[in-house]
Order: sequence, then C-alpha cells, then structure tokens
Amino acid sequence: MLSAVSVSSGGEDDSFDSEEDLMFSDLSSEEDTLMTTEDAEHIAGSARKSVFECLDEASVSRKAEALVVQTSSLLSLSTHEAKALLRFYKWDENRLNDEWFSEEAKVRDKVGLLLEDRDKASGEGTSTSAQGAVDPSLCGICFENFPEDDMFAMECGHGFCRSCWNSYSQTAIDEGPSCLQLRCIQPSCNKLVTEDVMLSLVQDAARRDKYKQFWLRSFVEESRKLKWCTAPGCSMVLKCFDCPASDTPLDVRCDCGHLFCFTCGEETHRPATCSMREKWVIKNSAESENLNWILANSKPCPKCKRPIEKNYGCMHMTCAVCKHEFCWLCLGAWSEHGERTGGFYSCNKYKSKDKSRGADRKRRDFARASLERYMHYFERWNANKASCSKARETLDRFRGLEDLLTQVSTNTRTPMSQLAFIPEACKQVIECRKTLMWTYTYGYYNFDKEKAGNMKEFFEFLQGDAEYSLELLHNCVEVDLHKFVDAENCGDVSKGEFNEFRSKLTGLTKVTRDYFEKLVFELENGLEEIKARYGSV
Amino acid sequence: MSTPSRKRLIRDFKKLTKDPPTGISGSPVPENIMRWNAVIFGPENTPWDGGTFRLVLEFTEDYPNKAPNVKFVSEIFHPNVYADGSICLDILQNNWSPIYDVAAILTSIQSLLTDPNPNSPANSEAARLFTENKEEYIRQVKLSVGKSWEEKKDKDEDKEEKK
Repeated sequence: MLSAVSVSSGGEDDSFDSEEDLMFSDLSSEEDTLMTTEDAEHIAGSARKSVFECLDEASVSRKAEALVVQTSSLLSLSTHEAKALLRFYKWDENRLNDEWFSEEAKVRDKVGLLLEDRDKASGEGTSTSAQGAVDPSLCGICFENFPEDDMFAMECGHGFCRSCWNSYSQTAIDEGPSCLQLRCIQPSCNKLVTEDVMLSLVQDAARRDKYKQFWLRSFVEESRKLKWCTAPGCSMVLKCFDCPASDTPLDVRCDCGHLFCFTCGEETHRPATCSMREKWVIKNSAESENLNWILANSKPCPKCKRPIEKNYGCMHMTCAVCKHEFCWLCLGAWSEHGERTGGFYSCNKYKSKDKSRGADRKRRDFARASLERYMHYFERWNANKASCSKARETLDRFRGLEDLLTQVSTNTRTPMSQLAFIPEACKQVIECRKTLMWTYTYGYYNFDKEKAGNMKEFFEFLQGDAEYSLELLHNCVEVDLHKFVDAENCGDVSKGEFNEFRSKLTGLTKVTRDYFEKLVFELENGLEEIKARYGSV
Repeated sequence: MSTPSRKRLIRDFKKLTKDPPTGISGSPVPENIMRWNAVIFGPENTPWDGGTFRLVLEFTEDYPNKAPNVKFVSEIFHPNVYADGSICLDILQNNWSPIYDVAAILTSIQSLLTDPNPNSPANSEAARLFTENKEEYIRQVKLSVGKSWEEKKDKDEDKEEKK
C-alpha cells in the first residue's frame, strides 16, 4: 500500500486494478471459512484493541459495594461513611486515600462527617438557640411538643421531631440526586445525612428505591471508568479499564448490540475526534437546513454563482441578479443554444465541465469557496450517513418479515449456517459507511486551506481507496445478492455461481475491513508514518 | 383544611403578631393562608430609612420543606433584586432550611437591603454603582425610597377615590 503512494497523484486507477487482482487471489484460500459472531465483535472493536467489559446493574451494584467495603476497612469507618467519602471523590479511591491520610480533618469537614469523639452535648446548645427556646421536647419546625422517643437527632445533636425529619428527607429525595449530600436541618450545621440515617427516616418504598438508585447512578455517572449504555431503554453499564484521553474516541459495544463512543457517549465517529464531531454536528444543525434545500432545489448561476431556484417549467433561465441567460440542464449560456446543440429546447449534448474561471471576483469567490468547501464535505458525509442507514435496512431484511436469507438458502440449496457471510458483509458495510462518513469531518477540520499540502492528497488517496473498496462491497451485497433471492431466477443458479459469489463477497469483506483499519490507523496517528517517510510540506 | 404547611403558617402568623421584629409586618391575604402580603420598612440611619417596601409571599404545600416564592411588589433599586421583583437570596434558594419561618425570611430580606451582595447581581446597574460609585448608589436608593412611598400613597388615594 505505502509504496503505491509515491505514484499516487496520477496512477490511482492503475493501483486499484492491481489491488483488485490481489484481493481476488486472496479469496480462494478463504473460500470456505465462515465468519462467526466473534468475528462480528472483532469488526466492531476493529483497529484499537479496546479493553472494556459490559456489566448489568446487579454486578455494578456489587462492584460499588465491594469498593465501599474495601474503603471502609482501609479507613476504619462505617460503610455508609465510606460511601459518602467515595461519592465526594467521584469514586476515585486513590484520591480519597491520599487526601484522607494527609488531612483527615479537612476531608471530614468538606464531606460533612463529624469526628467520632465529638461530644453530643456540644451540639445541643446550638440546636435550639436559633429559635430561642431551650425545651428539648419542642420541635423547632412544627413547634409541637413531643415525647423524647419521637424526637430525632444525628450525632450533631440537632433534634427535631421524626415527622419533620421524615418530610425533610422525603422532600430532599424528591428534589433529585442532591439528596445524597443532604445536610442537617440546622442551617449552621454541616453534618451529612448518611445513607443509614436516610433509610431509617424514610419508610416510603418508592422513595427508598429512588434513593438507592441515586447512589447507583452516582457510582456509574461519576466514575471515570464507567458509562451507561446510551441505547434507549438499555440499563447496561460499560466499564473501560484504560480510559483514553479526553478527546480521543473509543468505540465500545454494549451486549445489547449498541455501539457508541465511550469518551463522549455519542455515536461512534472515528477517525474524527470527539470535539470535531461536536463542532461538526453544531455546524450542520446551523447550516444543513438551508444547505439541503439549496442542494435539492437550486443550481448556481454559471456567471455569478448565486444559487438559482427554478420556479418555472422552461429550461431557459435568466438569473435575477446578473441577468445572465443560461440553460438549466447544461448550465451553458443560452446564446450558445441553437441548431448546433440540437435545437433550443433539447439540450442533450454531454460535455465535461468547463473549469476555467475568471480571476476577478476574488472576494466573492472566497466566501463562496468556503461554503462550497463545507458543502463538499457535508454532501459526502450526509450521503454516507444515508447509505449507512440503507445498509441497516438491508441487514434487517435478511431476517424478519422478508427473511431474505431463508429465500437464499432455499434457492441455492445451502444450509443457513453457511450463509453467515452475507449479514457479516452487510455489518461491515455499516461500520465502514460510518467510518467513511466521519473521515469527511476529519478532512474538513484537518485540511483547511491549502496549507495541508500533500497530506491532504494522501488523505484523499487513502480515503478514495477505502471508499472504492467499500463501493464494490456494498454493490455486491445489495445488487449481486438479488440474483439468489429472486425465486424465478433460482432455477438457473448453479452451485458454482453461488460459490463464486460467496468468495467474492467474503474477499471483499476482508479487503474492505483491512482498508478501513489502515485508514483509521493512519488518520488517528496524524499520518505520522507518511510524514516520516515523505516529509511534510 | 388543615395540612402541616397551613398549620405551620398559622403558627408563623401568631408568632409574627405576638412578637413582631422591628420594621416588619406581614399577614396572609383574606381567604388564603398560602399567600401573604408583607411590608419591610427601610432600617433607620441608612439610606433606606423611610422606605415602605411591599412584598408578596407564596407558599406551597411543601412549606416548610421548601422555601416560599418571595417577590417585591414595590419597585426597588437593589443589587440583588431583579426587575420583576424576584430576590436573589441564598436562604430562599439553595440554603433554605425548614427551621426558617416568615419572620426569619423577612428579617433576612431586611438585612439584605443594607447589606447587599454585589457578587451575585440581579440588577447589574445597582451592583456596579454599589461597588464603584457609592454616592450615586445612595442617591438612587433614596429615589427608590421616595417611590415606594409615592406608590403606596397612590394606592391609598385610589382606595379613597373608590370610596
């Protein structure tokens, strides 16, 4: 591959041909190898060997509990105190341990845990002074008198009646996850309402569940190594053992089948970085509505390049701005339309586009060029996106109502177990379309202006290679396959013909995967290898 | 109807009537204990002296576990009061505690008058003058005091005219 680069600019077509030969010679050896589902996983995690595991809620809870127990024995604290400390330090036990052993008092103060030896009576004075009463049986909230048993206070000694404590805690749970750091009712008191206290106060089952759920959520959402699966309705958790840097994408697949980027939680977008994806999406939402309409309904005036909407039926257009008269079909000047081109209203002469452009109008050209440049990348990004969802539809049709696979199986007298290579190819198409889509975002942000020089050419070459291979594969799995689906044709289908199809498709799948792995690898490494070899501009 | 919140509001009212803090008055509107009218008088020996600032307090059934919604009805020039009369005060938001009652709320607002917090400005002009140009700030406050009195007088005149 790399050696092909040196002849890249001119000889692209040639190199494709030779690659094609190569890929087909590869096939024969692979002919009977059928892909298993493990291979499918391999495709998902492709180039980067990611180390992550998928957990259900129960095992996440167990992990949280284990961490709490371990911390509580290390710090000689109750489990609910350990839990509060861990939450405060975003479940990072190392940071907690460091700070705890260097300045315990400060940590206790921040989190709201009193020193154990603090005298209960010392808090007593402040508890009632706010209201100016000294009666320990009077609740400072509802101002009723209660027998001692109906009053409640934490270690800090601020006593209120159980009913007021109960509604205080319930209100906090209703307010949301901030109830995990609820403090004593007494405004000047910093004492944290720990889990054991909370659960002893709140009897309502729904609220207790909600409270426990907040703890689990805190564990998952605040630990750097954990993420909820982002598929709607899925409650699985992904754990990553080696978290990448903040802007580096990492593709993970949940056991539910959903694929997403662990770093940003959005759809996978390699080789574009997370921030690139975000910028791109924002840019699209701001511009795409206009852009789509312009693309679908207008053509630029060949003279002034302003977008023109065709609002009458005839092909003879007159630009409303520059009054240039031209033909809607060929965008040529209307004055040139006549007998020579087959009459005024039959523009059927095919001619490659005239690239010459006047050197004036620089400023306008610049503005237009920047929009055009964006449109170039957006169009391709969008087309691949559409293609990707088409491929998903195709994959769905293999099973389900249409059950194309079963038809193929009957028509070609091949057992279903040997047809796995077809959905496999389709999954590969989906993956690749997605990757290809984001290479356009990558290109848009990385090769701005001309300064990118030959890096841009190399990028486009790699991208072109991958895209070409993908087109072949996509075509093969969508068009060639139909021969074997159509029941009327099946009589003519020989075993040999199907075998040929199989080797072509498996081969293309493999080759395309290799191309894309190489593409992603090169792009994510900033084309380093190429720079090293050929030097940057 | 007697709910914990209503019961508590009745107690708050009794306490406020029996033992009213200086410069504060407040009472529920007739027929609805969940809505109160209140007046805070500007503290003496301050630029606020003589001002009569009217407020409305709206309570929910969550009271005293949740703070009431408190708004100035009178126009007032203060760094922590929004144009619509809403007040930016910690105890009315994050630092609310159920041990606060109506007297405590009104006293806090009264002390906010003379002791604004320019770091969380609700009225940026007032906050700016408070830190950069005390003289002009005091002038504006005194205008505000005058207005609070005029407003009240207008209303009173309206009532008299209606009679």
